[in-house]
Amino acid sequence: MKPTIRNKLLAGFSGVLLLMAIVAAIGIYSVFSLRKSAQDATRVGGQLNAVALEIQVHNLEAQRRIVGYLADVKKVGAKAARDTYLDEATFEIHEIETLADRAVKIAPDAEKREKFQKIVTSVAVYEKALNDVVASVESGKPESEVTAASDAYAKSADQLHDNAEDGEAVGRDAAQTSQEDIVRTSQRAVWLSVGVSILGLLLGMGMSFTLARAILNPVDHLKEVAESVSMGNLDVSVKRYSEDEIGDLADSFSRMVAAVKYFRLEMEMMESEAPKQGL
Amino acid sequence: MSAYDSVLAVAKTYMGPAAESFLSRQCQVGLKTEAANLTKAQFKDLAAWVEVSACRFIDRPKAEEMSKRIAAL
Repeated sequence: MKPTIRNKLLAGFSGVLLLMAIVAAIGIYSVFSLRKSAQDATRVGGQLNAVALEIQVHNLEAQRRIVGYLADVKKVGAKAARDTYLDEATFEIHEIETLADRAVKIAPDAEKREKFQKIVTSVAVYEKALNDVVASVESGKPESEVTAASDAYAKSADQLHDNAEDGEAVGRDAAQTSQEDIVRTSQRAVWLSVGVSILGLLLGMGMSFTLARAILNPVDHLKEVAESVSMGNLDVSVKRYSEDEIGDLADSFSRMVAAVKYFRLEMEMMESEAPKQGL
Repeated sequence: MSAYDSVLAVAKTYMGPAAESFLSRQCQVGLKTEAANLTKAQFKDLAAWVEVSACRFIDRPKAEEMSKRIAAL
């Protein structure tokens, strides 16, 4: 493609448009990236928090059932107390296990997974302590052993409660971490956009400067030559700076100067020969 | 296109409207012939004359270029 002024301008404008498209693409990417981060933050943090709260609720419900069982087992008998309270308590414990497993799966990193893994472990301890209480009550063991088993159960319930509270904190922390991710991503996007914009601006300025020089230098030269010729000085050298329209103009001007020089010399020769011929 | 016309076409790109008169003078003075009678065999001699004479009106590199183009016809 010939480097004409039209082509140079086209290339310059295309370059600027390309840079603008890149900046726009980065902007769009950043917006979608931020939206995704925000959705992730809401989803993961919220889910972990909700799971931990549900665990607390199931834990309280299970404890309420066990307290009821312990209070009524001697009045209504083991089987009736089991039917009324223990089946429900077992269901609650199973729910806690399921929720804790789910939280382990969705936790975003190892540290948070470990917290929920502790809930899984404490549920197992809790279940064992519950079975010990039930066994000691139903097998008619001495009051001291029943009390010891009940204390162990209460301790395990407290442990489960503490671990569930840690889980809640982890949920909040996950949301917070995601918020920090969003801030980091947005800052990165802003800096990236600013960087690309500055780069685009510098490249645009460079291209404009180069383009202006490519056009103005030959024009300045032609102007100087034309002024010189207009003042009667034909001993000028017309340079062809570029292969564009201005280069063609320089060639035309060069031809014109050569023709004027030639005709002037021819006229001078004719004038000097005329007196000899008696003209 | 006659031999002269092809030489004139080349000369015009360097000398413009003076090309015709310039070539005519080179043929008369250098080759002792009329431009209309110019033959291809005379192109090399003409090119040598053109190179020397054209330097008075155009830059040396351009004069050399014109001479080479005429010689190559």
